[in-house]
Amino acid sequence: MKLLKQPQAIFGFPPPSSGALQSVDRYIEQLALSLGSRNWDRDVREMLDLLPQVFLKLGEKVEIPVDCMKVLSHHMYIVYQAYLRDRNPQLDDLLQLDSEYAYHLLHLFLENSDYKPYNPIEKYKEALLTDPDWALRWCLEQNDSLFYPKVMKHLVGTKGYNARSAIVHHRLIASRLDRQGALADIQQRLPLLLTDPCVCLWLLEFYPELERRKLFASALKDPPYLLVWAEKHGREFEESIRRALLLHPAWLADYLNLTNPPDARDLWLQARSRCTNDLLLPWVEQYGKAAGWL
Amino acid sequence: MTLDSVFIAAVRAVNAMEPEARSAVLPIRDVETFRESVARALQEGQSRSPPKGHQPPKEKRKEPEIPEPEIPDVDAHAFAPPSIS
Repeated sequence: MKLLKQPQAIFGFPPPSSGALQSVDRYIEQLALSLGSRNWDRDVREMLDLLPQVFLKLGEKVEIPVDCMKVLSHHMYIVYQAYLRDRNPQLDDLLQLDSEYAYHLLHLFLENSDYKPYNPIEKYKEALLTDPDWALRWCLEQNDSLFYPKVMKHLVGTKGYNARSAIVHHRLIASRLDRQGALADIQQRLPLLLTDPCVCLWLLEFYPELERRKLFASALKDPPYLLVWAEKHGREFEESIRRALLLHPAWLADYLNLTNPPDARDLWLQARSRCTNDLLLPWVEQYGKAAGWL
Repeated sequence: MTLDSVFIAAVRAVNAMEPEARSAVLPIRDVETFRESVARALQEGQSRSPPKGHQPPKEKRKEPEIPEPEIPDVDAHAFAPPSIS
């Protein structure tokens, strides 16, 4: 499964069109510079979500407001890069919100003595529990038999309200069920599992009996996942995918590059007319010009 | 990269929670809901139970615990459900 972390086509990638790298670098510098003195409104947050590398260019005096929490939680690889560079203890705390990056931190502390944990190691291991898949991976790799019972207890305790716990719990017990029993178990958990687009892609692969439209609906507000669905079942959900992406012109460009539809120009014109973000509009225009639509 | 004081206070509040409560407020779907969930969890004294609104429905039958004696292989295919055929 190829899941993009941020859109590419709108910025001239890949392969980089002539001058694309310099153009993006210049834009990142300018936006970072302006954030010292302007409001971090919705338009800014949208741009940060599309080009989170801006965070790496912020001056030390610029403080990131709490409204950007969701943006940063989407792009923990940027936080991790900043942590590797600055070793800022605030970022150590922030990375613990994400099980995958808590796992990378644990490995970093094991493998590179230049980096020291700011918290007891047990805190980072607790952070793995939010997505028990990472916790089990750690148990297996490190042969951490003391941590394992904690992971199991957590799984059982949270499988009713945490989708990642629910799916890992299912995967563990499914090997002891027949197909019908496994399917019944999934059906019982389905309302919770449908809240997680990543889990829904796993279900799509392993449980073709499930109603695909319900699984697809989990991706409607999440453009990177819409692109995965476009690649896997584009025809079946074409109308819904196109309608949803009209509200996300940067992601629509990747969809157009991926599927090359005959009405690409018309879709792009519709998306351009709906785009109210002045920070994004020049990129939308540039994409249209490069395609010869202007 | 520097976080403002409200931001870092919110992050540290979540990290101070018991793992079960953390699992109820993460992942962050939108900032407002997240902040409300954190505030509720803290108001409830960082209890081990999830914040209101995230309570699982009462189960009629008790599901078996997982008596796994050994650490399982985490490879996705090792967890694959029984085959259709």
